[in-house]
Amino acid sequence: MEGVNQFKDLTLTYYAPSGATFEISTDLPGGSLGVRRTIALLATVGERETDTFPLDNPSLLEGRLIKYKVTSAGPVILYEGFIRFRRVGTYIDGAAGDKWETQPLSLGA
Amino acid sequence: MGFESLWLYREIELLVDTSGPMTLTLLTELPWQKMQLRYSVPFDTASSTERVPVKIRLPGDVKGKLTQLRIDGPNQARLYGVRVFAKPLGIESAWRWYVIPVVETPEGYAAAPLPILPTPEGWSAMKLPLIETPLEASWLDLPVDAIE
Repeated sequence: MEGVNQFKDLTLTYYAPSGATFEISTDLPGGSLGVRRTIALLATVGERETDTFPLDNPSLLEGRLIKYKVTSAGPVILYEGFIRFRRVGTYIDGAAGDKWETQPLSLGA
Repeated sequence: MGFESLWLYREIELLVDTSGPMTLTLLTELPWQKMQLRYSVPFDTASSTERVPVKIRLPGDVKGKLTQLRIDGPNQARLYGVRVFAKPLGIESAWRWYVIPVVETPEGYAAAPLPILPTPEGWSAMKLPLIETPLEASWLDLPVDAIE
């Protein structure tokens, strides 16, 4: 399967005096988009706060697609954010009938 | 004119991270001159959350000019590396590792920005919607009817 990414962590700069919930949905495992991580953003004190949230517990978050959603009982201002990721070279999703197979290889002359 | 060597295979090493049991299958074209299954073994690294090396010892009689590897199963696997320990048949002490190419996964991570519209750090001025009052007074002709 191609185009699979692993997501390591999320860094967010935000203002949320009532706190907020940050949901991340991906399409793996299983192939359908679903909520894989729910992050509680604590109520901010100052104008803007920057926090980093790990996404590798219990295992790295994975997906070909990713979607974000923020909800709160109060106002939220998102100033900036980025997610650290890397593209998996060889990903085999056996549940989707995927397999890895080489050509017949000769090791040398 | 050259001929392909006959290889004796001893071990396969995977650098892999699985979500559950998967199966490695090895095929060679000997002894029937046709690519056929010679060895198949399950492996599972689900107890670890990182990539781990899996060493698979092969029976002593696995040989062939060609070899083919397959990984399948009902779970997910991230394959980071594969190599085979082999030697040309008939040459003593020529054992060495041969790397089987897989699409590589980088060690590090890159940063991707979230789709957030920027909020400027500085402030800009916005005029209030007030009708201007001139600083100086001016003459105004009043509409007075003439007395006859």
